[in-house]
Amino acid sequence: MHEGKTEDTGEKKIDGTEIPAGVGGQEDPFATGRERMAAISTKLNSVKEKVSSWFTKAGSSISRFWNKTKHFGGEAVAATLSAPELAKQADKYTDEKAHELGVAIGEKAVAATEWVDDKFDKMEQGVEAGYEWSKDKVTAFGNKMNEGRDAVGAWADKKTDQLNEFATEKKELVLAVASYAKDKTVEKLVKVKDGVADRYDKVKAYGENAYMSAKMKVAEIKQKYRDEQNRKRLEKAKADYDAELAQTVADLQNAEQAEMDAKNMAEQMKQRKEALAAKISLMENLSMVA
Amino acid sequence: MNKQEFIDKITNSPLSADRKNKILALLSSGELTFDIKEEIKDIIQEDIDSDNTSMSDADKADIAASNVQMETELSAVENDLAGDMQFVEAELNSLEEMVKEVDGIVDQANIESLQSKIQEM
Repeated sequence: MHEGKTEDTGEKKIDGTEIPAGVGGQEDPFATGRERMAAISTKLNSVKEKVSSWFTKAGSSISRFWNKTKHFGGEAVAATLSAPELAKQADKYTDEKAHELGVAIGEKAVAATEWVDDKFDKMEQGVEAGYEWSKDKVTAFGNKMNEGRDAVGAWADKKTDQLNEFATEKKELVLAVASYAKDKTVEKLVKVKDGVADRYDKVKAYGENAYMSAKMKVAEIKQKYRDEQNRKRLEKAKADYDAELAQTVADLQNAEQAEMDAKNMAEQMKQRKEALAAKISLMENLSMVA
Repeated sequence: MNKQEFIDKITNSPLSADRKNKILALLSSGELTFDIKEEIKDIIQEDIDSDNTSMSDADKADIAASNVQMETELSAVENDLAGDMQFVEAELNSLEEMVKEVDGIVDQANIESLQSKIQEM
């Protein structure tokens, strides 16, 4: 059931430090969790790198957008960056090439709007499904809290809040992405980036908390059974000792009685012997009486 | 009790020499973390469990049943952790998907910017 360390091989903890090999003698229930956390960390780093590449990648277009803003004299970057606005600008051109380009951009604008609507619907469904899952988890953890496990309950309380925030913030992030897809402004890209970074941190914290909570729970369970089994062992050892002590006392008492009996017997025999001797002596004495 | 006092207690304890050495190695490996403390507890318990000389068959059966119950509870925790890890993975996959989509939108913005530039020429 549990995968873990063996007597011959050491292993690394999640922070990379080596755990001495061959100690404990127990299977490690966290080997799987550690492997998964390591895989998740890799994935998290990949997400982080990707997000940081957005601005490098968008750098040239961002500077062009700003130039364009100045050119049009507009205050909002959004107005100049949206696909419909580009289509409108394109329509101003009268030559055939510009007209063709305008049609192409116009079609793209319609397609983009449809794409955003479709995407939003799908993502929203995903959020709802996630929220249903969260509610189940919240109930499960609420039940555990009711079992009176203080340490776990404290984290479960935090976890409940996290799960509720997950559902709400996911929805907000989906909206931010949809909004950026529509307008493509720098401000909205920044908002998406901040949202992704925040979610990245929260997902990471959630995974770490789940891992630590499980460790605490395992330690708690093991301690509960250790206490129970050791109490039984101690009671058994005490009962064995008491029985042995009682037997020794009984043996000693018996020995003492036997000694007394023997002494009494000897005394009686002595008295009998003396009485006999006295009686014999009496008879001897009697023979000497004139 | 400080660490040195605990080391002295272990050294003078009735634990087996082998287990004493394992514990002393753990104690000297660095900070006395939660994980290290749990490992030491496991070793001490292992030593306690190794002495079954005065245990009757009924006592042994009782302990074995208790261990089965403990394993069941530990499995429940492991399953819970696996569920949490799945949730984290699913959330990350979703986040990764979102990042890819935004990446695509950034590309699209670049294309549109280029098209706009062409229009101005």
